[in-house]
Order: sequence, then structure tokens, then C-alpha cells
Amino acid sequence: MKLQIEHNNRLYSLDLAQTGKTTVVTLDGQTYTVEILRAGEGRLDLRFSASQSVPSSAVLSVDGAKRWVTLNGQTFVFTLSAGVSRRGGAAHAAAGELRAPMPGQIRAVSVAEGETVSKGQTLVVIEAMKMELKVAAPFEGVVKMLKVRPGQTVEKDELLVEIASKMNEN
Amino acid sequence: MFRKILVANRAEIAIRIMRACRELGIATVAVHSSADRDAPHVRFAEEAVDIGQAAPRESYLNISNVIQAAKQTGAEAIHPGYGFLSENAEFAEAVAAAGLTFIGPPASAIRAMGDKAESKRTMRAAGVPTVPGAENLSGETEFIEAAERIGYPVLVKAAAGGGGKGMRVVRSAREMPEALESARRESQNAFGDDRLLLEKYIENAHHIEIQVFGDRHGHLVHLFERECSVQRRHQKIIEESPSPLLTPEIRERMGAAAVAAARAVGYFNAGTVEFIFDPRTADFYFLEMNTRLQVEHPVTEAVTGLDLAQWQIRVAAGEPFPYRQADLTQRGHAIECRLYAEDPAGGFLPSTGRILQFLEPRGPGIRVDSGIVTGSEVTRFYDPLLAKIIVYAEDRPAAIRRMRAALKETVLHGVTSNLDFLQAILARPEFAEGKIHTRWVETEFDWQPPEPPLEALLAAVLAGSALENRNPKIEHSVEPDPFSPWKSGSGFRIG
Repeated sequence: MKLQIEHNNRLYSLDLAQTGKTTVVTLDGQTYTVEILRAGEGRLDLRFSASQSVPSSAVLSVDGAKRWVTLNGQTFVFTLSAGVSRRGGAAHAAAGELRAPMPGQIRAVSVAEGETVSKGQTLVVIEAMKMELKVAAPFEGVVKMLKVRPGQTVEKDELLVEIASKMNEN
Repeated sequence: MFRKILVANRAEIAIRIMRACRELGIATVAVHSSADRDAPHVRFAEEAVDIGQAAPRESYLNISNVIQAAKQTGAEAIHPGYGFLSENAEFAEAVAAAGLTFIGPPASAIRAMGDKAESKRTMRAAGVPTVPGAENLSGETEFIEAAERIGYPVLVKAAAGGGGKGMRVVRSAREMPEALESARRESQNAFGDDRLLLEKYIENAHHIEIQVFGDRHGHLVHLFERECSVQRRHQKIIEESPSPLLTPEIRERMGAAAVAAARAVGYFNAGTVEFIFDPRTADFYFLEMNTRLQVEHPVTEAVTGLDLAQWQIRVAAGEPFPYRQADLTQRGHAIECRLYAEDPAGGFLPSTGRILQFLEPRGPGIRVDSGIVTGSEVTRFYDPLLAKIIVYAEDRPAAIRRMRAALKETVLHGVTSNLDFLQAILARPEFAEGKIHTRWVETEFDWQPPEPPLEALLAAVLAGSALENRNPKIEHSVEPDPFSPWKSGSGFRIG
């Protein structure tokens, strides 16, 4: 059974083979034998080698394809992909697409479609949890599309503004 | 003593105050917005009143709704907690006008300290040292002229401000216009007042504050300091007492200055005088006074052995505060870490979502004040503070070790938090040496979230089979795990 799991835009490809409570996992040409000792109530007790006298106890939460894992006091969030190769979301976004860095409410929009903007110019201000965040133009260009209005609520990664680089147009 | 108190707040501080009421035998009334109907603070109270829509303006900041809730339930006093209406003089007056007791300082003291420019004048007159600055400026040119007189870098801040809102460091005239504009807007949003003032910005400054406490009979003392220099975006994340920087002599001077500051405005109840501390010269300057209970009050409770929330209620009811300055001692060492729903790897932006698991640390000397449980929704409407972890130990090294162990035991799933970030700070030699200044996190601490160890990766991929064996009570989805490798029909062979 092959599967892929992503952490922080890095994709790991694994091969799993299960025999009873023991699973043999192959990652980067290395094989590991893992024994599931106990599973349930948000915990997973695993034994990674026969010499391990106390199992590794991971705290685990599952939310759709997302897995939250806490092991030895550190928490990691993984996303399982159903066998399809994926790349980091940032790589897909066109450079001129400015998306909401956090969920919140649009407090100010200081540009209009067709307007020329300079690099670093504040275009939109978002507020959430009493905090203000400025979304600025990454380069000089023209506002191709404006998707938000003041007062509107946006989700994280929602498209706010699209800028067309001046260089591309010339 | 009061028989019933309304707590005009939410989350951990509302629960903290209700605990104090419970121990004093006082009934509690919670208020909540429509988004907080099922919040832990509502369940903790004996009665609860819906005071409006999710947006704070409609509910937790709505003075008449809060007062009506108190009247309707027969509460005799209102505790405002921190934030929201706690430093609103009009609210304190409205509470009194309704024939109820405001658990906090007199409205006149809130007003005197609420205007930052006015409070600095009052403090100078009372002999409390203040940072060089300029006020009543209008227009960019005047701000730039004043900044040049004081010397860059300067700090632009909200005249009505607090908590880092409406505050910008300006290093040159070129940066002034945008700093003014954004500080004005943030100030207007946060306080309904867009007046700004300017002051000298002290490099590598520490934030050290003094807790003061007074009764209604003119008795006023200080309860020593809290070192709160670990900050991001001008907001505290780790606090401790004592400060590793203070000698008994400086502590005594700062304590006396804080008491003088409080006395100058006729203060009673709990308050905090914040100072900027220059580690090079050991000079300290009055920053502002917070006329309420602080988020970080538990570290003072730990080292003094006093229950500040209970004493707030007792002195509001007219009891004298029985301890003289000489009776009070600072013993051992306490540290508080604030657990925030925010992403330290992504500019500390707030994160929202449902808490999938929250496991609090336990053990000797560990206290957790939290406002969430597994299943709670963290929304965009309110402060991202989820919980406070406080440890107490015999000395600072022991307290650091205890906090590191406590953080390691804490689990929070469902929203991105600063838990790993807090652990990384506690592990740094600069923290052990007491060298962290208020800008250290932003300018010197380059933190990257750790790469997952193989074991965590394996646990994540084996989660599918774990979920299938999970207790059905905590299973959320109808389809247990569509991504489980064990459910896949093809490609899977044993051996």
C-alpha cells in the first residue's frame, strides 16, 4: 500500500505492509517495523523496535485528511493525500494573486481596479482577533481584479486582489 | 459581602473570577455573545445571559446590555475582567449609577490613566520618571519635527491605548506617514479615539511592571514586579516574577514609584504600573498604568501567596486590605506562558478552528487557567489567548525546568498554536540569562518549526487503523477515515 503524506509543504512517500499488529513501512529505501500496541481515545501507542521497553505514545487527532500528532512534546500537522502527487499551495499561486493570510474582516481597501500600484503599497487591511494586517503589493503593477470590499469577511487563502506586473504587459 | 456577581467577560479570565466567587460563597452570572452560547465560561456559571451578537461591539462591549443583565439577574456587583469594558470609565460610572458595585478602581482613576498623554503629565507632577516624548501633535510635519527633537527611533502610540494596539516604531522621517495612518486607524478601531502621541524608543528595553493593590480606606501597597519582556507585536507571551534584572534596591525604588503613581490618581483595588527598563543604566520610566487585573496576575499570586481576584472582590465590598508593605514577601519564582491560537512560523497570525484535543499539564507547582475544552470553537471575533500555564518553583532555574516539562506535557490540536515556539524560547540561553528584551522575538529569534521525526510520521500514517478502534463517543465523522490505507480496496497486499 503506497501513500503520500505532506508536512510543511514537504511530501513523504511511504509504502506500508501490515501483518496483524505489525506494519512494515518503507521510506526512502529504508524499512521500519512498527507494532501498534494500543489505539483509541486520541492516542496511539507504538513500538518501533523490540528493545523498546516503553511504547511511544502519540497523541493523535484526525480531521479529514489532516492528522495532528504530538510525540515527545512536539506537535506536527500532516495532510494525507490519496495517492495523488501534490505540491505546496504557494507554488501554484500566481505571483500577482494576493490571498488572505488569515481569516478575518476587510477593514480597508485602498485601491481600485485598473489603478497602478507601487511595490510595497498597502492594498487591503484585514482585521481578526483585534489585530490588523496589511496586504501589500509584491511588485509594481496594475490592479487587474479586486475581489473584496470593506466590511466583508474572508477565509484564509481567499483571493483578495490580483496584480498584473507592468513588465509583463510591455 | 456580595451574594451575586456578574462577570462581564469571557474565556479564561471569566472562569478565573468565577472560581474566586465560588470560593467566597458568591453566586455567579455569566454573560455571553451568540457565538459563545456553549463556551466553557457559560457552563461554569450558575446563571447566564445572552447579551448580543458575536461582534464584541454588540455584546461584550455593550454597556447597557451588560448592566441590564446584572439588574435582571439580581447581581450586586460587576467584575469586568481584563480587556473589553475593564478600562472604560463610562462603564464604571454606569455601573455605579445603576446602584451596582464596579469591582475595580474608581472611574476617575481609570479616566486619569486612560489618556496616555494626560497620565504622563500627572506622573511627572507626582515625581514618577517618564520617557521623553511629545503630545498634542497634529499633522505629519509636527510629528517629524518632534521626532527629530527627541531623536530617532521613536514610538508612535495611541493616546487612549494599551496592549500594543495602535503602536509603531518609527526609525526615520520617511516611515512616519504610514505609521501615523495605520496607528490612527488601529487606535480608532480599538478605542474609538484616533489621537496619537510620540515618545523616545529605548533599544533593548525590558518591560517590568509593578502590581499595586489598595483598599477603599486609603491603604495602598505594591506586590513586587513582573518581568514581561518576552513579547511579540508588543504583546506579552511569557511573564515572570521576580525579574532576573532587579536588585532589592531598584525593586524598592520601582515599588515606591508605582505606589506614588497610584496614589496620584486616588487608586484602589488591583492595578499595574508598567515601566520601561533600560538594562544598561537600570533607569526606569513610567509607561502606563493598567487599571484592572492583568492577564499575568497569577505569577504575582504565586510568589506572594495572595489571591488577587478574591481580594479585588473583598476590597470592592469595603473590606480593608490587611497587609502592610513590610508584611509582604516575594518568595520562590513563578513563570507564566500564554498559549495563543496563532502561527509563530507565519508572522504570528491568528488561527481559528475547532479544538480537537486539549490536554493540560499536571504536577506540583503547575497551574492552568484556560478558557477552552476539547470541542471549543476558536473564532475570529475574540482575543487568540486560549490558556495560561503558570509554574511555581523554589528558584528561577527550577521554575524554567518545570515550565519546560509542563509545556512538553501540554497538547493542543485543532488550531495552530505557539506551544512549540514557547518551548523553543524557554530552551534558549538568552532566556536563562535574563537577556530577552521586548524586541528580541522579532529581531533576534529566528525560529523555524522542527522537522517531524520519523516516529511522528509513522504515527500519522498509522492513524487510520487507530481511528477504527477509537471510542465511538469521540468519533466525529460518519465515514471514519476515507484516507485509511486499510480501507483502500486495491493495491494492498499482506507481505
